[in-house]
Amino acid sequence: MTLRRTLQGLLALSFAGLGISVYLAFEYLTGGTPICSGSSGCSQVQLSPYAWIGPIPIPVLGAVVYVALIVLAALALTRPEQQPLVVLALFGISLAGVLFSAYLTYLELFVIIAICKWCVGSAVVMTLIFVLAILAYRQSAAESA
Amino acid sequence: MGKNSPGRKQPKKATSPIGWIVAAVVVVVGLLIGVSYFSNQSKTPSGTAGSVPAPTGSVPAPAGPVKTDAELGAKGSVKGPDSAKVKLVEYGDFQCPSCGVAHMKQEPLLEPLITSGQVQFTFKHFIVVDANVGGSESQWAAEAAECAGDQGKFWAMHDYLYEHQNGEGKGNFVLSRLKQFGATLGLEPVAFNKCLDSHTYSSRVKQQSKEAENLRLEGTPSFLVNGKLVKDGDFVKAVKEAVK
Repeated sequence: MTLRRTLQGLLALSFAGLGISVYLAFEYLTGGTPICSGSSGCSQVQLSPYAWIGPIPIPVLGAVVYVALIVLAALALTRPEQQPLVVLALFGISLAGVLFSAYLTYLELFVIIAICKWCVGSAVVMTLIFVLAILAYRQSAAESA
Repeated sequence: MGKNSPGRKQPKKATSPIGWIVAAVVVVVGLLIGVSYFSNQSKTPSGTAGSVPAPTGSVPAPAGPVKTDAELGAKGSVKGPDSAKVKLVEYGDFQCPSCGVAHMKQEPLLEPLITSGQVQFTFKHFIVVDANVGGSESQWAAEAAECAGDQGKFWAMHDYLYEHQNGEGKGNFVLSRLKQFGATLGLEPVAFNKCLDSHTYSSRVKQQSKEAENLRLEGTPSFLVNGKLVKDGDFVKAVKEAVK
């Protein structure tokens, strides 16, 4: 897989993550509950105090991170001269995303004791993005060596 | 030259920035997790839990001006006119964190519909937390809201309780503390304290909880829109649909 392909994959996954975050953020801010295929997990998670940091719903935070990843991935694809630096930024931001997703999944499993499928979906997407960011970093280092 | 030999600097040049990035990210995420986790954990006061009144000292002032039920268009625990097209009923427990979130994040979305007379919002007690964590703080908090209602401030106390949750069964809603809440809301203390101490509304609260059990409600908060239980707490959407 070439660096270009890796970045394209990362870009596509970031759009998927953004889709999930925007949907959840919309439901949180308009008082709806996400579709949860018959389980009450999504609303239990949504109504837990951990779903918000002050006035900010967690999905809004997710959307911001996914937008940042999209911008950076697009930048890396279109500006090869800045690629090494941008790939590092992608690594850093996706690491932050994956650590925070792990914390949220911990909260779901052991504190709230309810699973929100959309949140798990976002955590999986973020983990894949992180794996691709590591790959992109290694490919970029190999190219510039 | 001898002390700052260039040879010593060379390994630094070769150091990848990745280590610094990882360290910076761990610190930033750690801070964020700290804020998220402890802003909720700190609601659990230190000290002994259970029936021992742990927190002492003054209580926080209300967030805004304290409005009476009359000013809010309410009669006791019923807010909004009887002629309202949509009747929303909440069965809640003042200690339940989800009820607090629903109150602070979702109910404000319905406030305009209540003010305009399209929706009537009734709050009823469903005491569930006491059985889970021990103690009687949910029961007492519910009685405090009813006692405040005697002085035309049911909703002021309702809002204050939800907005000042501080752990479940940790001494935040013990009688001495509820009396302080009453004082901070400007309630006449002799009558309010007597109402609390003599558990004037104990049977009303228990009656409403029984009613919730008879409706087979599974927990709090449970919302009924025009008598129908709304699935998954999706009450804002259901109310807006019903208003149309």
